[in-house]
Amino acid sequence: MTAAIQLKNLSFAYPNKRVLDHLNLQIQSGEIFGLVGPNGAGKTTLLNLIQGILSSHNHTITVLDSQPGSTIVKEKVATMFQDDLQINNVTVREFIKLFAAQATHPKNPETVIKELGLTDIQNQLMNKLSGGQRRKVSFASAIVSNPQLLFLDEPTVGMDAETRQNFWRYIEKLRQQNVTIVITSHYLEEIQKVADRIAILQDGQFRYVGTWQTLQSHHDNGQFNFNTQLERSLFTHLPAVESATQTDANMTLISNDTDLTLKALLPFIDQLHDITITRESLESIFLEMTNKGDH
Amino acid sequence: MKTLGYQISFNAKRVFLRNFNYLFFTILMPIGFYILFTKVLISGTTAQELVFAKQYLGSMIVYSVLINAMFGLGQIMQNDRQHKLLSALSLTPRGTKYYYISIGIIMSLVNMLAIILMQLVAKLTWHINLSLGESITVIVIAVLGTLPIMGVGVLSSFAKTPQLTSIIANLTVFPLAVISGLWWPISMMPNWVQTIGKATPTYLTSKMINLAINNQSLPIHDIMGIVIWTVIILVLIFVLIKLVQKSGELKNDQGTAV
Repeated sequence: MTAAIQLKNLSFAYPNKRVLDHLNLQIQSGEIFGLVGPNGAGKTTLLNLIQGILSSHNHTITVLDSQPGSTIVKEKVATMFQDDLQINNVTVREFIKLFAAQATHPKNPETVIKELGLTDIQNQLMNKLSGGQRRKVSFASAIVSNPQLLFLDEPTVGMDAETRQNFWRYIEKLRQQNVTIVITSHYLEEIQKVADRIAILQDGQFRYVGTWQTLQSHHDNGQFNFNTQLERSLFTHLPAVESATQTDANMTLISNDTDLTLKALLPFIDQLHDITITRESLESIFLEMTNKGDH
Repeated sequence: MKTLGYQISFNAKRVFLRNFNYLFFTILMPIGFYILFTKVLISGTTAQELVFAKQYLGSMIVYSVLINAMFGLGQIMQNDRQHKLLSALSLTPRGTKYYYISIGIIMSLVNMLAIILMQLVAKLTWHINLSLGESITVIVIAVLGTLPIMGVGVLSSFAKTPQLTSIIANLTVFPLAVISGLWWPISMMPNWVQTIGKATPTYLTSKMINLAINNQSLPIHDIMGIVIWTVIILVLIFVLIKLVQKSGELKNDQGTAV
């Protein structure tokens, strides 16, 4: 596997503030990579540097074996911006075709319109679209250039549930075509589902880079929920159990090591019904990590 | 060529064909002014009125281009910059080159259309019959003579907000129209205003169009005046682009890689 993006000791500073601090990262070709971080963490600056919108000057970034902003990179990279372009008096179809005309090896715009379910609105003016429709059109204008590397900045904001589902289905399709995708989103559960690896950026530094599963194994908090006739006091002293709450027959245990607690529950398993185990979500781990960073 | 062709079609539809306001202010309003001032608000002998109608034809042609430059070109480019169309295009392999060329072509075509329609109205209302050669000469003078004005339109597009571009347009169009004698004869102005007015590219172009309509040769110093204005505006655009690039970097990445 080759690296689609490589950062070597990348730092970037504004006159009064260091925004990025000695970042090292390799994003592999064909990987879906989630970049998360609180507002002001440096995500946008990092994406702007990788895309060549900002200049890094000292060759600390390589994109598809070339320098950011070079023509080779422009041919192979596309971006779905956080803010949709608001162009008046232009139809959806014309807008998507514009970006096909700007590309070197574009996809057929008609195919993209069809695949993304834009056929019904293809002749509508851009300024008459809803927020969710505009996001879809922005996505279409990015992928019509047939990119090898795709940046998606808050891609699903404003999309309804069905559109969002179709969007992620399309992302899976792009994964099969070996397109490298870098996503930033505030919907962390979506990143959790789709990204091969994630990076948590805070105060210009990566607080974590790796798979979601590895991150979760380091944060083994979880919640057990089951129905039982057994007494609450039986569960309060089980290993790793932080709290036990009982409402009628329903019991909820909060554990800081789900594996340990699960083993301890096994002797009672015949008397526990409708068991569900919920492990900590990316969102709660993220909040835990970034809040710690604040203090 | 395919990219340029698509850009021309894309921009022509949104800027001109589907934009009635633009069509109204750039073409219909100057035609309306021409009819109003030469047919309604006029007094004198028929011969005097005809002389005025011929003279006013040049004025309204230049006024139409002035409106197109400041309220058309300037605001379209400002709007596209504001709404990040230019940023998005700059990240594509073909960049913004074809965008600028296509806007230039469309503006020139709109100017030509406005000039031809104005000549047609003059023919219908005052029977001012220009030969094909004269008509083409008028178009060439109007398009080339107003290059500095189009340049001012480009300069105004660099303003930070659409409101500021609009203010610059208003502060340019109306004073310039008055002092260069596009609305009323320049001879009605005080001497010092006339001195300034006669140095403006709008006056020089309007004067040369009138000379062409009356089959007279064009004075070399007027042509030189337009050339000098064009050079000055081009230098200003070049300097401004460099400054914007520099300040854009300062604004966007006041920082540096460290």
